[in-house]
Amino acid sequence: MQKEAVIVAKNLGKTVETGESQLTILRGLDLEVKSGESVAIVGASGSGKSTLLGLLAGLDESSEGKVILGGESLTDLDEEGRAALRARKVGFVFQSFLLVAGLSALENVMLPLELKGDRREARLRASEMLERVGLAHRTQHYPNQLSGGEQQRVALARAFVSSPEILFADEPTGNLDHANGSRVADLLFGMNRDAGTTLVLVTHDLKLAQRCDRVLTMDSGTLSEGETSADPQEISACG
Amino acid sequence: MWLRTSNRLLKQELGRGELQIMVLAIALAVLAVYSLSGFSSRIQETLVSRSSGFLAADRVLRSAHAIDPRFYEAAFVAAQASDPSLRQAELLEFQTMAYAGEAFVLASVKAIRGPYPLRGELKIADGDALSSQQGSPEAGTVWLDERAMSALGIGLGHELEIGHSRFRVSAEIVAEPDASFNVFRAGPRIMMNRADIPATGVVQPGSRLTYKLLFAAEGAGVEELGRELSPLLSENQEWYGVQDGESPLARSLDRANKFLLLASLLGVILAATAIAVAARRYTERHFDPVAVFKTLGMRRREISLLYAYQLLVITTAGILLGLVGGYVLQEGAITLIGDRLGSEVPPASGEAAWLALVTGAICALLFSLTPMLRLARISAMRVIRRDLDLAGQMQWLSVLLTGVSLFILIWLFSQDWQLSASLFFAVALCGGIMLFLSRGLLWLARRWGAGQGALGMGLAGLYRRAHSNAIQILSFAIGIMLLITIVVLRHEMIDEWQQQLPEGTPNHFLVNIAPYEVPTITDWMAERNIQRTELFPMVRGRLVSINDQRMTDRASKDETSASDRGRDPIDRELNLTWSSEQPGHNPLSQGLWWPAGDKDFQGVSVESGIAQRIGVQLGDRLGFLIGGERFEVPVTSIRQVDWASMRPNFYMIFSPAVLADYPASYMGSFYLSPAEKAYLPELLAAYPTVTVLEVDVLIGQIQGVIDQVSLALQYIMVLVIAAALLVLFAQTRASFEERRKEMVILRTLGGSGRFIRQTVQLEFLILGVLSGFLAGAMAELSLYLIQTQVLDMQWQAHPWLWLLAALAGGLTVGLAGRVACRPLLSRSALSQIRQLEG
Repeated sequence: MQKEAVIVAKNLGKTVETGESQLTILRGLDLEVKSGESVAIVGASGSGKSTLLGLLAGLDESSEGKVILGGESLTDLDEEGRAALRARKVGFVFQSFLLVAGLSALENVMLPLELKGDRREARLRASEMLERVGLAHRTQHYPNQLSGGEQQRVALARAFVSSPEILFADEPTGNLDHANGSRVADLLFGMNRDAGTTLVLVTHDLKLAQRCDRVLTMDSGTLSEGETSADPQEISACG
Repeated sequence: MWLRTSNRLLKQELGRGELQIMVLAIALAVLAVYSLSGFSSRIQETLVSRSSGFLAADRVLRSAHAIDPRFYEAAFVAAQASDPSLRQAELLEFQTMAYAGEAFVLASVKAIRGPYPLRGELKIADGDALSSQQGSPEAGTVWLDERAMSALGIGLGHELEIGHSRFRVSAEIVAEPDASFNVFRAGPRIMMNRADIPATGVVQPGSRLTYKLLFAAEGAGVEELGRELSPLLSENQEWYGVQDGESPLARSLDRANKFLLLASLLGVILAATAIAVAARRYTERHFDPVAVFKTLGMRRREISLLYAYQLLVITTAGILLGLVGGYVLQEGAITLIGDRLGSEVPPASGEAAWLALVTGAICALLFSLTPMLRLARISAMRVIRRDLDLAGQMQWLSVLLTGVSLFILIWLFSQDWQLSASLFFAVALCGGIMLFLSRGLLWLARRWGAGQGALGMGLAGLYRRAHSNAIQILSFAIGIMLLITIVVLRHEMIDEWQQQLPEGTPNHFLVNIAPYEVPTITDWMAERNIQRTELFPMVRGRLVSINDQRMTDRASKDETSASDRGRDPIDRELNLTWSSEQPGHNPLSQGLWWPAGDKDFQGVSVESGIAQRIGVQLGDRLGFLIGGERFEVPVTSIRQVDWASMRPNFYMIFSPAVLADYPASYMGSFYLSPAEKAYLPELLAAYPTVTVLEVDVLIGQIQGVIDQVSLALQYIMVLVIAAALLVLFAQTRASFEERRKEMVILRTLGGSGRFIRQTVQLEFLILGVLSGFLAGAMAELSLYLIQTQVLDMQWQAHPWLWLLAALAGGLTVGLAGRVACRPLLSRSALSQIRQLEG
């Protein structure tokens, strides 16, 4: 059975004003990601990867074209509508972890559930999720009391706790050493596979990218399928 | 949802000590306002109530005609219903001849009904016993002051006649609270019972009488009565208190009032600055969490609610803390100086607490509203593009809101549109100029310091953040400027007061010296080393016309409103004098003094106040009547006279050619220290016809009030300094936070502690010097405006101020920077980085 597309970008463009001139970051970009699919976006720094991620996730507004996320057109939604959509369907993992400093690990993980309105089970499910990422003993610690790897594992727990349809990950291992990076990557792909989440991963790390179903390369604001050094074996190993 | 998250965040932030700064800033605003306005209003109340002793009442209704009880009784009863402490006494004052055997004297009589005095102390001696009296002599008896007794040659138990009645002297008046300031006008004093007046027959149609109703209350009764009565006053009635009029005391009180108001206002602006600084810092720290909340799908409304709730909790905590602190501070200060105030200080009023509460709420809400609004607008994209913030956005709203809040605060304090508007525009103008200048200075410093090691690095850092640094300089400068303004103002006000009545101010007047006695009296004084003024000849005469227009019609209103308050009415006899030299303490405001050596010069020099009142200008011809002889003389100069100087002062000084041939007696004033008081009986025995007026008690009272006002100013200055230091500290912390990241990077890259410390310190030092320099310049401008426009004082340049301010700014801000950067250097780079990330 043909899987339905959960992320569709059509003729997507983003232009920003820089003083007197205009800078085009993305132009005429088309993309379709199917449900349960994992897609890696690679490319050099400044190629527009993060901008694309922001537009796909509804964090930013495009200058032209449209994005359909989980069947809803982001272009037709205002900021409030996009926020509500994110709360229902989207999870995030960032390079710099971005845990809320004032909340404990457990509270950070509870946050998406509470935002969704699942208050009763929030604590239980957040605890389970922290256990899943191996941090059952660190639930009451605050972000600045955790190591980088631990912080990113909390962020993973936070991303998956609300069972999002789609997960956006922006250089999830970029700030971590090799051992911690591998552990986080394993967790990310493992949890993604278990939950059947659609994953969009932005990264520099080709090895990480190759664990996805598809690798797309971003270059000067345009996207092309595939990646030259792709190794079929590695891709097949991807969850 | 938002409530739960908000509470969690609050708990954690409180635990980490981050919110305390915000709470402290609000508490500081409330504390400053509560203690400043509470303390100043209590001090002021005490001072006014003490000074009211000089009126023997809080307010007086004076009339040239009998006051019909129907005129005020309804209003009095109504006011008394709301303030039962409201009370009244009635005085009838006039001059009449009193006789005792062959002796007679023109006495100033005060006929009393009711509990006179309502304020101050009337001391009488009844034989050996000295007692404080409230009420009138019993019917048929009178009290005399020493002058009246010696003029009549009688003592206690003797009798005297006034009109058709005989009275027995039952006590001697030792101290009278509302003795006239004008020592030349007051005759020997006799006090009697008002009920005895009709029998004497001295009050006839056409008699020159002053009716006074005295009022006092502990609550608002007097003000309420005043509101009712003021619109009903007729032309010859006047409603006044100790702060009205031109007595030196009124002037001191008026200035002290304005100063206290100003100091409180500046305190509020300082506190508002602290809150704005703290709110900005608080908000900026929350950019990331808000972006994360938004990414996770929190709505803008929820984010707004979340932070609004936090703000509410913080504000409430700050206000409570501030109120408690302010109360403790107030009570502490009152306990410390209460004794020196010498009278009972009223309890803390609820009004000041309300004012402080409202101020705290306004400060907290309005000054943090824009930062909060900015928070809600943070883009979710910040989670990916970390450099996104809102610098530059909503600036106009921020400026607008700050302006509106500031204006509301100023108005709330002064309740005076004009003062609010001028102060507001002055502050706004200063702010604009300072912002502009500080950016310019930063640019210059950057150009100058390029490539100079740690200094160059510091300057580069400063210039890179030129915008936020300009704002920091502005808030440092505002703190320093307000501080300087208050310190200098207080110093110069007290100085000026002390100059008014310096040590050795004449405290005794000699009148009625015969011309032949002048040389021997001056010798007598010289032998005893007594400092004295020149002896002036005095001729009694009457001003009868101005440029041929007769005075009689134009004078009646002036006369009633000005009598007994240091201004003689003008259709009655005046003390005239002549002098070839211009009195040193009488500067000319118009015209010229007569040429020395021109013995035939005809001219008169007129005191500026009376000249203005009767509309006399240079060149007008004034007609005088002396002992039946009439003459005219041109006005050749207008003089300024300081009536509080306790020297012989005259409305009219003539060229010698005009008056020298008239019979005159001489007068002058001199200073006796308490130890020299013993010379007095000797003097009186040697010159029995000379009268000595002792004003040392009066001067003592005025000096007492001035001392107390100075004390109040000192306390308020200390509070303002404390407020300013706290603002500086809050600002240093906030600006240090902005630098922390770079410092951590430098540290991580292996920058030595010394290098980092130097860089930070130089940055702060430069910030401080620039702020101080600007503050000095702006303080000079505000001093000029305040002294000339508000306080009616002389302004002089303070060139040292600029240097001192720059120095002080550099020192304080530099030191604060050093303290703030210490924890950074004592912890490992790793934990610092963690903290930045967290």
